[in-house]
Amino acid sequence: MDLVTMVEFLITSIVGGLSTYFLSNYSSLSAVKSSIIATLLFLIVFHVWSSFHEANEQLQSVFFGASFVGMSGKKIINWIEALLASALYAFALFYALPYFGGMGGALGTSAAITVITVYLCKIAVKKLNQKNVE
Amino acid sequence: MKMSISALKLLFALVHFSFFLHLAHQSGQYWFYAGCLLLPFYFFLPFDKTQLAAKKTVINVVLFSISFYCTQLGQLFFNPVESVVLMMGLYLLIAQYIVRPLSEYEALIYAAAFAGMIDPDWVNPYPLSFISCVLGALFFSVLKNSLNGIGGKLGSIGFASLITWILLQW
Repeated sequence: MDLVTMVEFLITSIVGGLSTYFLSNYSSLSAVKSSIIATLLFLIVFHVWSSFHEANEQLQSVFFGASFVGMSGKKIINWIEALLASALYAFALFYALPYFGGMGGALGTSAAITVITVYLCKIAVKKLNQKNVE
Repeated sequence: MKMSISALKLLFALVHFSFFLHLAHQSGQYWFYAGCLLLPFYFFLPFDKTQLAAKKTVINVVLFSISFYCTQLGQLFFNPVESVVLMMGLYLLIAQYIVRPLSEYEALIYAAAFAGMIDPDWVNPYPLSFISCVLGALFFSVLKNSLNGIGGKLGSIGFASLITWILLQW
């Protein structure tokens, strides 16, 4: 794995996370439908692209996994936090994806861990700010 | 039947603990255990009690199984991601135009599809995979009112239903 792969993971993850986040929070689509539609569109684009150029198959998993990050509600994380979570997810997958082979639910579990990390940091910052005000 | 909120938090943390354990074991890189430092803070996550209703749980088991096995079948022709997306696309069309009441089960069916991403060779003997469907439907039922809005909750349910098979790979 090299820097190019890392950048590919990062861009794909951010696009996957944010597209699903905006679809699910700012349209009439549910989180599940948003994730499926975003991933379906990505798969179509990916297959068209890969028929002309060399493409990293792992990007399908990255986009699909990042769409779980984007399924978060706006009451839990705002779009900037969703962007942060997607970026964090890309880094996590960069190191962990090779060990996911054959395991069901791994992409979703790692997405949950990423969202929970960002959410807990948000709560911690909020509590620290409250303490400082007092 | 009711589960206390603390028990739910512990259960969810245990699922993620198994995930870190498995990653550390598979990779031989023990820094994956560092993820466990996060687990005590799950106490701050939004959990809520759910009352388990027998009839609803049976329906959940049936739908979970259908989605699980359809995704497994899809893996004969496509990779796991394509299999889930195509199966869910088909489900959405059916729920939208043919069997409308199915649309209220989309989260359950999506969670089951994640479980269905498991490599069929990992489930041995294969008929016992039904246990995963029962476990998955139960996990989904008890976590129904918890962690709302946290992305990846359904994936965690999918993973939780497969813990036995995953740990048996060691």
